[in-house]
Amino acid sequence: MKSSVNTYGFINAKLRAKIGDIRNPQLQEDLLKAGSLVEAIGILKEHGYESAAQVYDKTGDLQLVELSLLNDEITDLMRVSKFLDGEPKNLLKILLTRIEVENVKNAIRLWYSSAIHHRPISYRSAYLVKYKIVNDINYTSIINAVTFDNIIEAVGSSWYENVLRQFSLEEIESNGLFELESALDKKVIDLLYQASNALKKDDKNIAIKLFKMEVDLKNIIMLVRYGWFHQLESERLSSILYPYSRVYKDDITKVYINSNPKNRSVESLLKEKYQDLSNLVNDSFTDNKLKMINQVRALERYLFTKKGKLFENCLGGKPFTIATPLAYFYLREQQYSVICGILGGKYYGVDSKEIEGLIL
Amino acid sequence: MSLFTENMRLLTAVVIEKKSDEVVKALLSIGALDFVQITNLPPDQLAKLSKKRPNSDRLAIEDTRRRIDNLLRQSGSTLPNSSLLKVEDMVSLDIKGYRNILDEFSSSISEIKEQQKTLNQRYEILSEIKRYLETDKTDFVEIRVGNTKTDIEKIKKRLSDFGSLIVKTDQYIATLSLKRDTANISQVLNMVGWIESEDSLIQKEGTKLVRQELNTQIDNINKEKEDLEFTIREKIQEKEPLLINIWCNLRLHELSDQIRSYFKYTKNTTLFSGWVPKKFSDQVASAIYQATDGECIIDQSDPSSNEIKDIPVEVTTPKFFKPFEKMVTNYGIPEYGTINPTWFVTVAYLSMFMLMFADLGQGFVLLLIGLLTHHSYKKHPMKKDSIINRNVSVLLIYLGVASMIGGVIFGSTFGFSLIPPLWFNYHSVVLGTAQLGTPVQNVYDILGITIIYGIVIIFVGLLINWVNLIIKKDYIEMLFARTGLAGAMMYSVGIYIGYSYIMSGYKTFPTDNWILILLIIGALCLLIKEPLEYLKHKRSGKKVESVGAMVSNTLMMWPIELLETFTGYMSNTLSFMRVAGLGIAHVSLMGAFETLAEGPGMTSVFGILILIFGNVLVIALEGLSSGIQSLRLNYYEFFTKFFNGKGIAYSPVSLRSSER
Repeated sequence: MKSSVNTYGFINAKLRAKIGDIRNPQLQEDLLKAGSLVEAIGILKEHGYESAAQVYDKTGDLQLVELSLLNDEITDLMRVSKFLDGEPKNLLKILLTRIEVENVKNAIRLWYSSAIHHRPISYRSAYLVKYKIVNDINYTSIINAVTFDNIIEAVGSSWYENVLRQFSLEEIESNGLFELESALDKKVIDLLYQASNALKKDDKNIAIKLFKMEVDLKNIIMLVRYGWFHQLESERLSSILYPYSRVYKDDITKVYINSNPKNRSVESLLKEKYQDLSNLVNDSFTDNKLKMINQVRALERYLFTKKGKLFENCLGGKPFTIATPLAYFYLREQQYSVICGILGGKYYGVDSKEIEGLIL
Repeated sequence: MSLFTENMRLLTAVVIEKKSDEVVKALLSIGALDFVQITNLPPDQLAKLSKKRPNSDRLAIEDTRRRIDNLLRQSGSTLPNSSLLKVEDMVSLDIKGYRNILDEFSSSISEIKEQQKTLNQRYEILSEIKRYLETDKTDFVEIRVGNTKTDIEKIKKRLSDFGSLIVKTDQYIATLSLKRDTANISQVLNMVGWIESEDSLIQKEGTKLVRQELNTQIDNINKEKEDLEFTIREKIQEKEPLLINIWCNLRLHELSDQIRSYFKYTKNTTLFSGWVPKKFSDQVASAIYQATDGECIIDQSDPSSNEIKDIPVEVTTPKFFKPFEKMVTNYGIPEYGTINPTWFVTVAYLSMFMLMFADLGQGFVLLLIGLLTHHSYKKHPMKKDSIINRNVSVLLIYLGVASMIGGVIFGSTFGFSLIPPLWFNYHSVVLGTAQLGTPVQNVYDILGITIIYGIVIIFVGLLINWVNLIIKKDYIEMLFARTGLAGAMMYSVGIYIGYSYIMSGYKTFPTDNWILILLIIGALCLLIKEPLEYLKHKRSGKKVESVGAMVSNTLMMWPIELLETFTGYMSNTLSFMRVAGLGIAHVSLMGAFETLAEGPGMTSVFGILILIFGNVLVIALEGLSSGIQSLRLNYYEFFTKFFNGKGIAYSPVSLRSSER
């Protein structure tokens, strides 16, 4: 059996150097200062994102630039996972699956728009990743599917099949994709939990700690976003929550879910165990949608900052553990969303200060 | 090139305030003053001085300048740099105006980008259809051939959302679309009274025509896309002179503000101070005098000994030595007034490389690579540094020449003994075929040569150290330190012991009485160094630790110093055996490839290929390894004898100051 030094010695040293680059705030600062999207692309060129910048030069299409950045991210993360084997590699594979699930969801959304709502998706399929990330999925067949069974065939014999088989075309036609997407997300969380649990002691402790924290954050966000803002009925709200977490098992959460959607109190949901969060929301704003949105965003921002800090803390722990690859995956994802967020802001002419406040 | 760091002078000037702008321009033109903040005045006088707010927001200037860089990058233009700056071109600053120009320009480019995006989206649909047709996924595509009396343009408009392609002939209309849009398209066609053709010939012809049209449209779109890209580039290039002018003006103001930030003001005068190399001090003074029409007071003074620590260090080396100067400054900046080590590093580095990688042919290849990459960087100044960066490309030229000289000395060309050696045949010695009577017979002789070479390098390092210490008047360090005379004496004794041991056939060590006496004297010198330093500092009024602390420090440090003296010098000397090691490895590797090439069953072509492969491998791996080892020997074996890198780099505010 490989020792932890043998397993992580090389890759963690490599990743730590790369993490140093990612943490450098220069790119973000420069992008925010750019006067327009055209200038921001010039900055990307300067910071080593030539391929994404070239896509913009050739197409002028920001969404294709985002796709190019995503492709870079996927290639990079795949390369990292190749340096590991066994259970740690499996965990990283599941993290890559999260990106894949988003892509599958996007493909299904396109199909839904075209086949169910008869809205032309025209060029939009160009914004999908079409190659294999983790599972063999035929994205072309998904977007061109005539029936829901065609979609099930397109995902092959992967775990997606079982999840998709829980739904029928009629259900999707009447209820939309929300439940299906939630089921896919829940399945990834299941896989993530299983993969974390299968690790060796030190790695397992770290992975489970991060996992639980992330699930808690996601559940809080869902409880607030869907339970408070969208006022989802109890049963639906309960079904989309992820198990395994402290928030999920909490009695206060159950009371919150079961109370009348119009009278749910986020303050009381968070007050006892998340005092710092409860200060960010005020139930009295429930009549003012804009103020509610701002509160939800503030809460999400706060939770993402908290998540970032926890990953940062992990980097300070034992050097030869899964913490470094996990932190690297997290930082890479975050970097991607920050760059896309700023570029999007620049495209729509949003003020730099406002963009800064919006990017998570 | 001076053997020592440049002599500096502290220039302090008081100029009439209304002429300060001219002074700034004059100082910027010369670019020789490394400014210091005026703080060394009595507090009551310092309180009378004020600091003016800069005329402009430096951050805003820098941001605007970088915006220009980013725009120019879009056209692949060469970014402006300091070589374009001329102080006489400086005009007043209009940040708001510049920003408006950039905003307008950016927005005009964005408009073209939107056109490009729309065009590309059309391209994406058509290329998706084409991909399906070419990969036999015809199930996803629908071709319809028929006719209608409705105007074709109306149909095109209605089907535009679906990315359909429509072709009309006198006999029929053909449409090509994606099957996923069938429901919508059928709806539109039904509305316009579409009658499907049942003639199979027309169907076939229509299918062929619409596929041809697909290819034509894709080609046309590609051309249009290229045209738009060209238009953007052209638009930026058209504006380039204006953008560069703005860039230069912004940069000049940025530098002027940087100079002004060191100025202190009274009601009518401006004060500033800075270090300037002695050779430029009169020029700077005269420029200030002219800029103020003589309304100034300029004081120039040579540094006093207690200022030495804070004096910036200017190391002047001719262009030829620049790669080696970089090696020195990468390690650290020499102290003010000490020897500039660049000379010695040049000789040491090249000679080490020559001994490790001596080959006329392979050296020529290195020279060629160096010349080609250097030429390429010169021709394309904006080119990004590759694995052979700008510095390495120049260094390769020197290393190539050194290796070629080595090849001539040791008679090696691409691993073959094609030319008679000037000294001895390295190949024969390593392969054990050296002729009797030649000066070097076996690898032990080569190891011996490199040890002697190492001893010379170490002593050169010690000599430089002693000269530096004499200049600094640090006689205690010179006499009693490990790198002083005491250490050198112990090292010399060590060399003698080693030499005698070898001469006895590795059997006995020398037993002369003076050896022990000299070693004891050396050890005592190391012991008393610390107390002597203590007394010296105490006498000069410096803050010193207690006597007890000094004694305990001395007693603790002494054994460590002794150990470091014995092991340090020994390991430093033996470390030079790597020079022989690399040289021997070089010959052995080439010998191995030679044997492989001449092996049984090898055709001449295959043999030549093996030799080429061998040479490429040796050039890449051995070349890199020799380069790194030479650097290592310089940094760890040579520099540690004299170089502490405590100097401060001379960095005047000039037109050439770093832009980032």
